Amino acid sequence: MRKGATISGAMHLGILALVLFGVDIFADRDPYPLAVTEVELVDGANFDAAVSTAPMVRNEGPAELSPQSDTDPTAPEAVKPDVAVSPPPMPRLAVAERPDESPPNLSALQIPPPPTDVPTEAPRPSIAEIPSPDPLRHQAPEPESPPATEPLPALASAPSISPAPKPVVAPEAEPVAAATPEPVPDETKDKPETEATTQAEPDAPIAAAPQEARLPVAKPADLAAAAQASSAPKPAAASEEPKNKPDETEQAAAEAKPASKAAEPQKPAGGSSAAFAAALSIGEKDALRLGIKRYFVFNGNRSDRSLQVTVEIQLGQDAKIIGQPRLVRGSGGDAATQDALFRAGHRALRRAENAGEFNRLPRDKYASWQIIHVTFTPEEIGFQS
Amino acid sequence: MTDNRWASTMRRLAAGFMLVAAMLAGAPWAEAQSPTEIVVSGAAFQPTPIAVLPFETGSPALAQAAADMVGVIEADLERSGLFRIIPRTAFISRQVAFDSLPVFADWRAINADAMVTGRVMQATDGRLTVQFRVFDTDAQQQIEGLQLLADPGDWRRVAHKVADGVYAKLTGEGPYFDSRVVFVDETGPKGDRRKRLAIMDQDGANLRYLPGAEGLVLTPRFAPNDQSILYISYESGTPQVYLLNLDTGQRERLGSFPGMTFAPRFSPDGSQVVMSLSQEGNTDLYAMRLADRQVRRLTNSPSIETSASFSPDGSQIVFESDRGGSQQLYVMPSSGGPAQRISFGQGNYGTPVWSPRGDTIAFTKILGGRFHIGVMRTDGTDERLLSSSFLDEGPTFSPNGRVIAFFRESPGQQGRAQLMSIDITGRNLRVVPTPNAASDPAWSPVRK
Repeated sequence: MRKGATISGAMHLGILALVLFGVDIFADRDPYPLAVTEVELVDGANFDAAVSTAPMVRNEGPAELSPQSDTDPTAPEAVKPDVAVSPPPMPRLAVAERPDESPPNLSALQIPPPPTDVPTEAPRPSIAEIPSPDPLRHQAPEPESPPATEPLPALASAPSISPAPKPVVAPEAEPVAAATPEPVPDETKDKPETEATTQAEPDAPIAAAPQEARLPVAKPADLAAAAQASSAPKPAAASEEPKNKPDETEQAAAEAKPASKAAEPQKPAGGSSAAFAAALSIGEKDALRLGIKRYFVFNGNRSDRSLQVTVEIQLGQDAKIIGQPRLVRGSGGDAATQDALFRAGHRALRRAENAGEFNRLPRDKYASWQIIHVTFTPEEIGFQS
Repeated sequence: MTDNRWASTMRRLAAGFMLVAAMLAGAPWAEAQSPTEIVVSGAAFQPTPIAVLPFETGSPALAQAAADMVGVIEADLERSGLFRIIPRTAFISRQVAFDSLPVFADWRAINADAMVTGRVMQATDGRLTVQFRVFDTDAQQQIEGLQLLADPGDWRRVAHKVADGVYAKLTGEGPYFDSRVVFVDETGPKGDRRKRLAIMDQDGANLRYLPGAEGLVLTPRFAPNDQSILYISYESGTPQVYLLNLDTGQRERLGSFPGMTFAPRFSPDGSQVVMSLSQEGNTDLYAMRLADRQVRRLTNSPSIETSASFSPDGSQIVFESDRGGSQQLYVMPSSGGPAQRISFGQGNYGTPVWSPRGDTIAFTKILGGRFHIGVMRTDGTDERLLSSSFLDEGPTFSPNGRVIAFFRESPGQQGRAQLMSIDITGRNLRVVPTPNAASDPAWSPVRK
């Protein structure tokens, strides 16, 4: 017993001595011996001179990597980028291309050129300029009671719908300077000619079919004009303007403001201390999930079980959504279904925000909920957090 | 030397402490930089509250047309079961100029998820020009804007097109309001019914009777181009398949067979017709190429094969057969070949029809003395019964596959058949208005 204690004590003392008096017990285990190279400081002028005279060296890096990747099929795949952080573009949905950040410009409706086969009447910049129409040869709805048996000559000349042109996508929203109020433009006056698409009057034969043409989503920049118009002193002609226009101005300005800030991520609350905030707990995430789900309504096609969209929101420290929710990715279904699901998710997030669901998030963990990715799936897939 | 080693050891210990401290501190911070991920699954179903504003007109003469169109649009949307029309009495903003930005707060205040504005004008050539916009009040943006041109007489079609645009944009589903339904109109006592083919818009308007298709007619089926109809007529004494051209009014008997031909249906491209031919007590499926009337036998079985329906891509056919001892559903290649049974529930299955979306098959099921309309996936899974009554039969899909029409007959001597429609979710069961008793509906494609 004593012998063992003695040996143990001696061994411990030996180890302590080795550590304290210079024997590096880890030195032999280092497979990569340190190579110490003396360096000397070089000032900028000498460095530039040396670089300018140095020969150019081609980067042959990829050639060294290719043999392994080509010959070893079992080699692990390259790590894919985190799509949640850097979302790939979603060409199918084109949601990002829509002027989500700002409402459309309705003050300058631009009707796209009509189908080439059948001309369309040129759009008028204002209602006042619409020519006085002839009395409409409107036919009242036919009685639903069956008329006498009659042939169907009308079906012989059944009208056909010409294909609609592709929708005109408005440009990306630009930061809006909505602070300067301007007088409300009189809608009965001409719009600037540059904003109206001029088209020739139809001379071609008239097709008997309803034709379809897509109206453009108006320019987002005109949100500012609309906001200004709503906040500006109103002339008598604009007396029908709703009373709560100023609210819209504030809202528009509030939305325009974060739009310019969207590029720069906000720093966590509380400075450096908040940077060390813990992540949301499972319970906190689940509470948030249920809070959003309460407002998640989707009436579209759910037959594709893989249908889902992921929407990103950025929250301010006041638990309000900054800017507009953004589509990160979508899968399943077709583009129209994904688009509808994205809007359903967008609506759920807005309703959750208005209901104060985000206010329940712990303020001391702001850094963890500053940006949230919410994946919406129409079908119940069980508990996830 | 000892001092150097001591200092080196201390530096290493200090570096280790710093490294551990950095790891402990950096973990949550690093996590904060990546978004918090939440999965919200299981959306509720709730009709979308929508406000359809009165359409502007450029002239008082157009006011009635605009009002009529708005009425049709509202009726279409409401009848779909996916929308709830907000009454105008609830509007805060009574009028929104078509070229003005709505005050979205006013519409959110009355819980309108979406709103529609429109304008009706008359072009110099006399045609109607109808423009409309759809706004998402939460996103505060226009999500659709279309212009349509039509002859004034087509104002109902224009209204259906507008409703289709609203519906498609807000639900992601395909359009279906601008479509028609052909069906068998029934008059007279139950034992001596007069049956003739009638065609109407899907909302019951513009009803017409098809010339020549009278007497005892059954199972009309639309061609993919919406301009021809297949049906069964007993005018020759035995049931035979006829083809009626809606453009010309001409009709012809498809082939001349010694037995009965029935249950016809077009292929998706309209190039051929699949039908049942009954000879000497045996019924099999045949395909006829319309270009040259060449007939090809698809099944060869002593059992009864009938009610064939093509998949949307034309590669497969679903049909009913009693080859297994009871009436069940089977799927086989459209060129014929081995068939795969897909129905395995209790009861008997019949009149299958493939959804235009390709993802489901609707059918009639007889179980427990009652008839049901149901749907299942094309592999037979996820069977759901949507309706139940004394007699529900003959499902047909809307062009977008979202709605099923069928006919329901009440029992008794005074029993009367009527057309019904139901959402494939099982919601929104409605009676389709017809002037007389009606059966055997078939939905057309969306009109071009």
